[in-house]
Amino acid sequence: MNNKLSKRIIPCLDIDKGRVVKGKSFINLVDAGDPSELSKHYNNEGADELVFLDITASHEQRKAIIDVVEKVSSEVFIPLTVGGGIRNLDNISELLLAGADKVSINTSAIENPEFIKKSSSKFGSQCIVVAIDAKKTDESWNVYTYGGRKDTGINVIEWAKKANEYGAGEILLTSMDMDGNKEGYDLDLLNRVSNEVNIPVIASGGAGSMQHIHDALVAGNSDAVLAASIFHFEELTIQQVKKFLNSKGVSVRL
Amino acid sequence: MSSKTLTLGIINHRYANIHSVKKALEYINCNYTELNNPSEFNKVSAIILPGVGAFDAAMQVLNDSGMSDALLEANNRKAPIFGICLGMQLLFNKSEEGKKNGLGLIDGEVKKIKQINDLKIPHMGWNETYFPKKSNKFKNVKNKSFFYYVHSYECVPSDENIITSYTYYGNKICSSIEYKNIFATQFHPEKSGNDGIKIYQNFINYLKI
Repeated sequence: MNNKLSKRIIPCLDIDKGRVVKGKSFINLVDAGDPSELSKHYNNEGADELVFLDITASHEQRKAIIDVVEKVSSEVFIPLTVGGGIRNLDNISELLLAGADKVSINTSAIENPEFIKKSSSKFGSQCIVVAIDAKKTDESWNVYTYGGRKDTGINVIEWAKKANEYGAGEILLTSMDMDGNKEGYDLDLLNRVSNEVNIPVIASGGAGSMQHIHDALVAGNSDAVLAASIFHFEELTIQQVKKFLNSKGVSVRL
Repeated sequence: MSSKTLTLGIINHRYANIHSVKKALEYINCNYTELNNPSEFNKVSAIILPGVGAFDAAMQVLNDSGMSDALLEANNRKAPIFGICLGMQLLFNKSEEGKKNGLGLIDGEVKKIKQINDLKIPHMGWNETYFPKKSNKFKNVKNKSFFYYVHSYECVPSDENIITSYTYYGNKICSSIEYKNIFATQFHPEKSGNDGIKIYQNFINYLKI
């Protein structure tokens, strides 16, 4: 008997003008830059959800992400989260209508916390993910916005609690210090936030090995892990990670 | 019923992820039509009642549009009905979530999931699901497969024998029921990966028998 939900493994795809950027060494895919191809690949490997981060800079080309969601959701039947550049309720509505199940909001939530309230009461908490980019200070962590360029001076723990209160359904917590290092997630940060909120926390930033993922879920007390490069470059497959977790007694969907 | 005459209708009560359901049906090459008012119910031989959102709001749309009565009539002529998530809950007599009566096609109530210890409500995510009985709807789906759930209320049928699968979240939770022409799942097969698609396929295959 199992009383808890399985821990989720979530690959993250960075999308620029409708194309996957960063990852691309897949041998078996005809076109690894095609979000749809890559999504199908991850679905078949056992991904529990997919996150698309739209990094398209220009507003004119924002429609590309809608097309991506539209296409992927016709072929892949697992929850899809879309983040990047979401400013208002219309942006959310558009993405949900295209087939997204959740949206992730970051800068717009910090600049206007009421946006969390409004969006969660309109669309339901289950589809509002608040993404937090955290960077270490002497004693704690500060929230950064604009893709990690601006220090808001706001304390991460306090902000996570507030986002929870305002109706966020999940927290996507990225450690800017660990991101890209492949030296493991910031377990201290994950634990602090997980203990302060009663919504799921998705760990992000620092995955370099299966043990790191295990640590984020067990020692870090998080509910899910997000990873990009280790999957994109096929250093590890999702199946491998899940089998490892299962062998260590962590509940995963195999 | 031959496959040529089969028409599947999806009730659009505006409180539904009708979009994902449609895409799942398209994926398995199943034709369907959207049901927006009672006059359209005569055209279809089977009905999907999807749903995400609040019990009363959805019942209000069904009642005001006349689709509640149309669905009851369809049930009288034994049209197969497939309820999903809130769509499953609407089939019951009543719900703790709202004040309105449900459709009353299934005897029982919908209750708030009991919050035990630090369990998070809604019950949202992948959970291991048990299939104690053989059912043609779950053909090729292994016992203890994981399905995707998003709900805060659970269905409690008066007759436990109609429960065809269950999961554990604090307590035992009813995951699906089958009663005469009615089939319903609490989880979202259209978000449960390849196993979820199998359930749609099985439902369609069963209609064509």
